[in-house]
Amino acid sequence: MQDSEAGEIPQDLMIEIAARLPAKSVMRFKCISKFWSSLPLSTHFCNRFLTYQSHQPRFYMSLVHLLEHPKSLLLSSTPTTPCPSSSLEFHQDLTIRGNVGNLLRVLHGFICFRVKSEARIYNPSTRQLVILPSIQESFVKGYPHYFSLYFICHDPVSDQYKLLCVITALLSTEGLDEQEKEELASIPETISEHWVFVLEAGGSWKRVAKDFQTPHHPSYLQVTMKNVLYYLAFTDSSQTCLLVSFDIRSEELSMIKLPPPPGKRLALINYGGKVAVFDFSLLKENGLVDLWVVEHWRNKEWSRKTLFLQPCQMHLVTHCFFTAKGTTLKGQVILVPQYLIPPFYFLCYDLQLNHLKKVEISGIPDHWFTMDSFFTSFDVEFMDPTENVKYLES
Amino acid sequence: MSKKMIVLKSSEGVSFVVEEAVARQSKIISFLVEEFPDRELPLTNMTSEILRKTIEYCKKHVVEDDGGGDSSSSSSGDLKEWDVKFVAEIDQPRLMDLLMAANYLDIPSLLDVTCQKVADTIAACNDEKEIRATFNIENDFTEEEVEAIRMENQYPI
Repeated sequence: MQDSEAGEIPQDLMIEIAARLPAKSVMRFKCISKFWSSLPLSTHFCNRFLTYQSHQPRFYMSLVHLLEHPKSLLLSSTPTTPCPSSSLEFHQDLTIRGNVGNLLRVLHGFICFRVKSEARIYNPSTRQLVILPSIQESFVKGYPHYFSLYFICHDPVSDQYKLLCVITALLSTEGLDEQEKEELASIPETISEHWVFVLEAGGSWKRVAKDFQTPHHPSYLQVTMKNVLYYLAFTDSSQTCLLVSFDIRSEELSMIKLPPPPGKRLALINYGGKVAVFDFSLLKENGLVDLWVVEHWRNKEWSRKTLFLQPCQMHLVTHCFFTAKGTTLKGQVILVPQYLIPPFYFLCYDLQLNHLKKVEISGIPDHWFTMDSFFTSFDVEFMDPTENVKYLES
Repeated sequence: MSKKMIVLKSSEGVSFVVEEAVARQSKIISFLVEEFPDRELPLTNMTSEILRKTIEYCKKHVVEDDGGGDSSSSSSGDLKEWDVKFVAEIDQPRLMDLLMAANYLDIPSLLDVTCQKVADTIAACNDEKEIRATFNIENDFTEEEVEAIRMENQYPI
């Protein structure tokens, strides 16, 4: 047998080798030879690559300047352990400067965010940036005050990445004359539409769940479990809080009402394989957290657990308001101060141990702390696994 | 009780007498032994050198398995260390041959360590030129194609 060179290796063996590499090395394949450059395009390879990813999440942070968009930044931490130590250093991702938006979401190494009202998906490993087309035929977008929220998900059966967009308009009768008010009376105060974009060649926006009866405006957080994506939403005037499920495969929606009274500060989490609402509205005042766990979706059965923060940890939560970001990390809820304050940090709430941990963040450029918070927004998300070499088509 | 031996024959016609338990780590040999007991097994696409290396690996692993049960035994750390040393001592072309042999004979653990070693070698290269040199790969891109790739790889602004 002659000496084998890598060029003569069958493709399936080359895939086995390359799947063990970091994304940076795989990206070099593009310039080696025609055979090597074809590997990252293979779906089989991309899936094998994901199986070799070590579970060392990386934190991402977007800093968005709403008026001067080119000033916006994306920061990332070095890979960390699932339970990060007491400090993390962030570095600026120079490859996507100015193109970053808010409402970060991460999935399988992809980052989805919104720039103005349009969705973009960025892969830091391949540096591919996909700018999705805007939804043209939307009825809701005809209203002056509408907003679009995007959720990214993956259908493992068809191996497709999908983007769900919920467009909502809140109708206001303020400033209208009597005749206009009458014309609007038959329309509910909130109207919403659902659209899906499958990220594949020739993909386009498609309206889904047209029969879904309850108009709602979704909140930011999502959680995905067993091929179902969940998000929290509110209906119009009654301010009823809903838990909405989107079946990633069939693209059907369903919903259940949250048991009253829903708080104002909620997070959605995966609680030991069950979807749960983490209500921390009273955390700052009296260290109390309510956990509403969905026990049976069809029967609308919830169970409730109440946690009291250890008194010695109360000082961590009393001096500012928090929002929940990047839902969970090995059973932990990430709570981020509502405003950018130096030195910046976040809290990891471990529900099993009923323990809060403070993680300080360094590396945020100083001038971001002095900007008017009215014109800036920021987001934190963690990514696990951290690298993906799949090339998205659109 | 004497151990059952089988004979494997390399591409040069050299015969290797191996304990059946050692050779059975290859799923292919395991199958062939059942189908053709008491026959010499010709491995016409494996040189004596590579066959010797493969047998060395299988011998090490079968001994460890006998001593302490399965891979969960206390010696699994030592075995890993041995594997690392084993592949480190082989030069690049032989390593590729060994990888192909592990694939052909269907020895998953040997395939894993050889793939990992090749991956580590690729990751240690500084650029695509070094990868080409290490693996003796011909650059079959035209200048226009190289230019197109360069354009494609530019950072999004």
